[in-house]
Amino acid sequence: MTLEQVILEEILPRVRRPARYLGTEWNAVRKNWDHAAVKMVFAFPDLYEVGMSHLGLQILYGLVNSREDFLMERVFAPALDMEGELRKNGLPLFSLESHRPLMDFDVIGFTLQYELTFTNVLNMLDLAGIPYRAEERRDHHPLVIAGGPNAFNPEPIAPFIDAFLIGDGEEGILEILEAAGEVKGGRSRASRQEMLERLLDVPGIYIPSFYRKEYTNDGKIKEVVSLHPRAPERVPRRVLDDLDTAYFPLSPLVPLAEAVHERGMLEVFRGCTRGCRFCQAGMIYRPVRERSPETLLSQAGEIVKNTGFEEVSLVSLSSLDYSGIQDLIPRLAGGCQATRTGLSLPSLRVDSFSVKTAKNLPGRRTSITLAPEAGSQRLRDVINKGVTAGDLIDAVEAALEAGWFAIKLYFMVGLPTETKEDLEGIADLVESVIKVGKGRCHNRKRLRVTVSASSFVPKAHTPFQWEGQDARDLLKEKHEFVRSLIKKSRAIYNWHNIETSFLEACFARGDRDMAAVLEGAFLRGCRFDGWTEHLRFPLWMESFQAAGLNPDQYATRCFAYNEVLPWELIDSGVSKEYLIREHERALAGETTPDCRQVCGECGVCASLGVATHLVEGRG
Amino acid sequence: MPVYRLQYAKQDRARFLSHRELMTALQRALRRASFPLTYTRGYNPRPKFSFGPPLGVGVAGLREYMDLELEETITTLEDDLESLNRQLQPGIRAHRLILVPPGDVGLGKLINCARYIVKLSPHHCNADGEQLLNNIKSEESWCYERPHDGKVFDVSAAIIKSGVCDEGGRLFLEFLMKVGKGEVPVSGLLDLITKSGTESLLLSQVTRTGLYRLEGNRLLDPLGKTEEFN
Repeated sequence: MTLEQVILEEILPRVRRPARYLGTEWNAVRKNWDHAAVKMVFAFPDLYEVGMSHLGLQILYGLVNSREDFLMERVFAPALDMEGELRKNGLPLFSLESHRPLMDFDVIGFTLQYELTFTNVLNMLDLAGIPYRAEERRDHHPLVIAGGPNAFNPEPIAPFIDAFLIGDGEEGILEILEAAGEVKGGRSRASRQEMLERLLDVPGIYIPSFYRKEYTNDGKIKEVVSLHPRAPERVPRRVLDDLDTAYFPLSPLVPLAEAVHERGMLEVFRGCTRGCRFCQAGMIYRPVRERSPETLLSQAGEIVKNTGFEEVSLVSLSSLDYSGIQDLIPRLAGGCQATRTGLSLPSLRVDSFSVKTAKNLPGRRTSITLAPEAGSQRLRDVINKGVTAGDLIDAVEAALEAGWFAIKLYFMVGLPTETKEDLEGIADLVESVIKVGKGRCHNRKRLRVTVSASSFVPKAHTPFQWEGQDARDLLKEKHEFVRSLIKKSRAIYNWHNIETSFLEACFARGDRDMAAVLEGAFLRGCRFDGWTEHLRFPLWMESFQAAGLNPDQYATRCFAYNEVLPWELIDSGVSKEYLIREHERALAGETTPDCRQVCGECGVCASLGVATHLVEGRG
Repeated sequence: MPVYRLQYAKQDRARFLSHRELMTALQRALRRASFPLTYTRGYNPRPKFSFGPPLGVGVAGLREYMDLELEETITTLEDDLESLNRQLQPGIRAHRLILVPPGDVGLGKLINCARYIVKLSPHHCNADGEQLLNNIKSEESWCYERPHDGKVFDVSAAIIKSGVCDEGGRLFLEFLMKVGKGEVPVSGLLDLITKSGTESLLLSQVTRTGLYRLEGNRLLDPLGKTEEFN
């Protein structure tokens, strides 16, 4: 029996949700294996349901498969029951389209969207029968590459990855595969060393084995030493400059097993320049590059026709900031109505305009989510959120008017400079929202307010990268304090798992020595750590101890401006001077306007040779 | 609004789809094939569909049914069926599409029994089949407790008829089972067969070959075809 037959006949009948592993999605591409010069498998280190909702997968899958000489298949992290079956039966992890072992591919490309999927990366390589440490891989093993936002601090996972691509994936992926094809020539496999050296010609590639760090006695980085004459001093980010001419998948994969998001995705723009100081996406995807309404309208029509999706969604960091929104929404809504397709806006700004716009969209409405992030004006200025209590009340009033009676409010606890008053401010804000709802009964419905609070995680390449996270005990105390205040009102208070946020911080600011902790946690059985029900925190603490590493070194310690940070090798385009300036302004409670109004001189446009591109107005 | 009845198959890889996944797949295929579907009113409009009894994950179905309400009468049934098939993923096939005469009962009320075949592993011989069948028939009442909710079903009482057949040297057990009142989960039937003398069986060894209305000694299928039953 072939591996495919064994999977279909023996394994799938024994696992939950076998549709995750079928590979027969509408628009799945099954190419002739022997006709593709370079074969790549896109590896998403989380469940099918999560990975299939990811736009990056759809873009790269469509782009690579549009090339005759290349082939891309998919693999997701197998659920625990599938892992059990594979291990019990001695079967390798397989790709979905052709059910082939991952070993058969030339390139395995992981997307790193979230730090707590890293144990799954090791597990997937291990299940594939590939040594997870790059130094142990030989010429007959596939090249293992990675990209995505976590690649902006690649160090904690660096020993397991051969090469990282920094920045917009569609800019570099074909160059990587071309390089792989060239080096491979007519052979079945290329020499690893030759391959890595050839990849140095591709801008945006970071090869961890070509660098070594020197440390001072107190464990801080002294300098980064390049081990290869051609390895760049800093790796510049790849950036797509024109979204209108860029490839975009018009026949995206349609999930078989119900995914987190089942909808046609329209990327109205990439980047966000609001400048929230905690937000990594707002820094590493600069500048704003908008797609024209004409392109978007035609893409929407094609996507609905080619997928049958019941909903189209505008997916960008803050879709309502699209400069052509007033023009786009009615035209898009008209087209959607004609095909009985819903239209959704997943990220709303906190203002009445956003809510009123959302009200007029065709399709279902369940709850509305608004993110003031902090409880007081002072703290919202510190984080540069640019939202006032008045904006929130206006938005809530507009929501009630529009018929939404479930409102979710997002806050962050543990932000830099936070005081007791700021936390009390959360409760005050919630109270005033509830007050707006009082007396406004509609069809016997009453306003339902859910407060969802996360803990601040300092992220690399942001103005808050130098800030330490609050200790776990303190975070717990703070959350409990806010909950006790909110208890009096009728709102529900949920907070994210603190241990999860703590581990996120360890990886977000960790250096290469975190890799030993990661490996230890994987070997101790950690998987799917981002899923609260799977997180086994004591095993992580054991792994820190075994590696002789104090997690507070990375999570809670404040870094100094003159320290070399683990991720300084990666050049996001935003200058260190700008980040320091923004950090200082934060501490002084000063806000910085969106660069659409005034250039904040972050350095991106000059250093990467790109410009903000707006469809209306400046740019 | 006219209602159409679609007969389709779910087999091969598609047998691993859950009922919900299958419904979504059919809905999207119908949308891609530009069928003039009608939708429910309200904020969250859904196409007006009704399905026959759901098939479990792993169980194949050769003649399954769904009713769909359309905005207009379609005159090119064969062409529309063909265009639907072009939009269906591997394993799902649309076989027939007919207009349901106004006033006819829906699938839920119509169907009261289903025929299943269970493929046995290759090492069983004909004598095993007869023996198995006798063991199954001798069980006057077989209680099956569904694992996830502890609900108890009498499997024996749900079997209307059973038989054994040999196709290409491979043994199949065949059952006509109650649907609706007195219905039992397919896993309950497998439980009874296993206890009657086989190794453990998987749902993927089961195929539902048809859905019917049993009236007296006649079996009527949802497309109006009848056969004698004794």
